[in-house]
Amino acid sequence: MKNYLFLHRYKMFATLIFWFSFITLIITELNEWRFEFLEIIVFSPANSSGFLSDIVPGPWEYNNIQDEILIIIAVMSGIVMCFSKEKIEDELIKEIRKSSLIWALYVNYTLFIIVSVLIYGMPYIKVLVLNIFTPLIVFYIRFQWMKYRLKTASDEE
Amino acid sequence: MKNKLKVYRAIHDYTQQDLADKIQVSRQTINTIEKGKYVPSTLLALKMAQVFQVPVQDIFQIEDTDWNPSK
Repeated sequence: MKNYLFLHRYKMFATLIFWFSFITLIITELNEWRFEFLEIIVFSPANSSGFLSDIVPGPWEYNNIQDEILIIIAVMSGIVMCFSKEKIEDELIKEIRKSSLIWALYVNYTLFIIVSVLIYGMPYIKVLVLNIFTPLIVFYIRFQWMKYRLKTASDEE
Repeated sequence: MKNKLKVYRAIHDYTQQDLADKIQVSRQTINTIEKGKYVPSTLLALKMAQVFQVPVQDIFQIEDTDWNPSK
């Protein structure tokens, strides 16, 4: 059966890239720390108010694309980090993968509900951006933890 | 489900790693199956049976509790 997973050799590299870009993204979002040279004119079809339309006409606006770049890198590397094959991708690993994925979605939507009830306005949008990464992070941590537990349990023998 | 994996391993003088290598799984998987914490797929059970050259039922036996759906 096809398993739709990435090659094992990408895993380490993707993990490093993910944590680096994710932490940088948090710093960017929380501290409003951005490189000025990333301030460019972007295509923004949903921007109907056009609060910059006096400067740039049409569906275009000025935006710093640092967070966009980091989000794309973090999502892509996060997916490869979570869904690349293990050295021995056997049926027990598949089972752990599946249960971790279920866990990740439960935790994600629980957090989403809590955040929706407790946080409003602009902070809500910022938290939602970080909430995009909860399934990946919860999956990763739970999957690694289960692998660790299996390994220690069988090493005791 | 009960299993006699450990017994058959001892008869053939295989370590968990030896058996794992023969059926292309990790040692952890063999360990978890032996402890009864994980029920292997039919394919894996058949592979083990073939390695030990016995019928699958000799290695794995169903228990009454397996009929209880809440388990």
